[in-house]
Amino acid sequence: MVDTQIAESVNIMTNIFDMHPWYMLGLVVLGFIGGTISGFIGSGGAFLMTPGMMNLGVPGVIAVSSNIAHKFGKAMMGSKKHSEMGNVDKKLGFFLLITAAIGISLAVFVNKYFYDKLGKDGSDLYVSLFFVIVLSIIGSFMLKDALRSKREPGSGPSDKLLKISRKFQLKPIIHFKTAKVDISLAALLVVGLATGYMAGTIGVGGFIGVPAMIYLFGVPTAIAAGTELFLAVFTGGWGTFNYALHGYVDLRVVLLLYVGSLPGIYLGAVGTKVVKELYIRMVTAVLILLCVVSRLFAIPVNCKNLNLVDMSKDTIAIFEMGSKIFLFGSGLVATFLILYWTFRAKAREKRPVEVSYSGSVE
Amino acid sequence: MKRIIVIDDQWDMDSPVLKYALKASKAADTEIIGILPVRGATQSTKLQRQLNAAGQKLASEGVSFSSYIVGTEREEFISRIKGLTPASLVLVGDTVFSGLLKGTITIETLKKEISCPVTTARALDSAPKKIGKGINLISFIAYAMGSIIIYGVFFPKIITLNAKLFMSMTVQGAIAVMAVVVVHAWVWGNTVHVLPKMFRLEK
Repeated sequence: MVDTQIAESVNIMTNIFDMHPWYMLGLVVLGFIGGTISGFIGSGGAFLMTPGMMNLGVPGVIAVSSNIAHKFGKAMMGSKKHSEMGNVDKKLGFFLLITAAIGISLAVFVNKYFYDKLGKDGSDLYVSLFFVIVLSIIGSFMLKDALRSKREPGSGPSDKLLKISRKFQLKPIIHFKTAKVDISLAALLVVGLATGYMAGTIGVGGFIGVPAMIYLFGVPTAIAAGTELFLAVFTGGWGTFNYALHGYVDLRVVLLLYVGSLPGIYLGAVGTKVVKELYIRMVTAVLILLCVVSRLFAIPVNCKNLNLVDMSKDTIAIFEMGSKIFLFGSGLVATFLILYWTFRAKAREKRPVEVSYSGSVE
Repeated sequence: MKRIIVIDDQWDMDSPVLKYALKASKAADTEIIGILPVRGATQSTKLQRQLNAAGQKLASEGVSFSSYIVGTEREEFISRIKGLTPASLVLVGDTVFSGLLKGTITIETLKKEISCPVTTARALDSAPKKIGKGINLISFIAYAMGSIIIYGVFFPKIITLNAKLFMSMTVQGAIAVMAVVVVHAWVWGNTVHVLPKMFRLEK
């Protein structure tokens, strides 16, 4: 029984690569797009890479597990850098970790259940639905907040949620020195669980963890991003271990993603130094929402394959094409924009600039 | 906690004084006090917004920041700055003394009136700097060789090793997967981290 399962898992990617050798190049390109965006917006990239792999025919559970394994190594490199810059609150990271580990194990169990019971399409449908629901909420919230900052220059992230959460702070309250905040233990455990479950289900725990730290706990953005990366080392490691234990991590996929992702991360990170923060937030929000649209196109195809709806082959082809166009199109455009802004800003820095001063503040 | 007073008339994040202050505050637990000099009692909304935006950005970096708008009349200006001292350093924007404070206060006056070190961004720029790290050719070659081995020799063997070890659904298989990911991320990451330097995006 176990031998059959192992053979099945091993053959999934081998069959895909044998049938479509150029998909290997597709994974490299996908890694580069995800890496560049990840380096630029400071977290994630998985919101594009998980559905991207699924569009290339990789089953949802293998796409998620490969992404988590990829994130594990990437987070180790990134966390070291953030730690040197003083952006990591290790105490906060460890508290979140307590329940994040439970969240991941729970997510792995649920993902495995859908894959075993309903096969590739059932697993894909579950991952897609979860992706659409959660990321449409997060993407809309981020876009709304970025647009508010555009209308009111000088305003930072919204503090409405922070004010509400402070009203309901249950004891015990813990002080975090690096982040300079006081947080209820109960809130920490809930956020940790949600982060872990998200990370284990679609590989993008940072999209719950980072906004929660900023908007609910009032942690400074840079420390939230650094602490999330520190947390990702452990959640990524635990997720990788759990999925690998069920035979879902195919190292070929992970290594192909790395070919493009790590160069992308380094190039994207340069962009954060030269592009305005508001643009970074807007690019992130729009990109998340476009990925959601792409996944929405994929859902009817999964439903058809599970015999939940009836559709012609032409209609399925249109949905599949729409999903790919939205995902790869938005990813490619975002990557192009990031690289264009970065190189243009650097070229301008090299040009001599004439400084003039009027002497008036009006 | 150390204190740095930054006097500037631009207050955007590209302002050289702000960049220096931010760098210094990262090195030690430091609070930054921002001063926006304004002629007479007039308060420019645009500059105030820029000051607020800079404050938000610094707060997001975890830096403690407070700001004041101060008139450029000599007596008022000096007394407000004195009130904010002692400070480890007073950093002044390059165009402040030649613009808003022209004819009222010079850097020498300020130095004399307050007992703190006062300097400008231009002075810091002309100070001898450490030369940025270039590409370490030996370590680059070593990591590049490692990457060639991983992708040229190890990668084709994964298909066989998957059945025997990596996807064998055993604890040792899972640990082996984690070990490969860590080693590979380290080797490949150190190979390609020179890319921004190669493209001259970083010094």
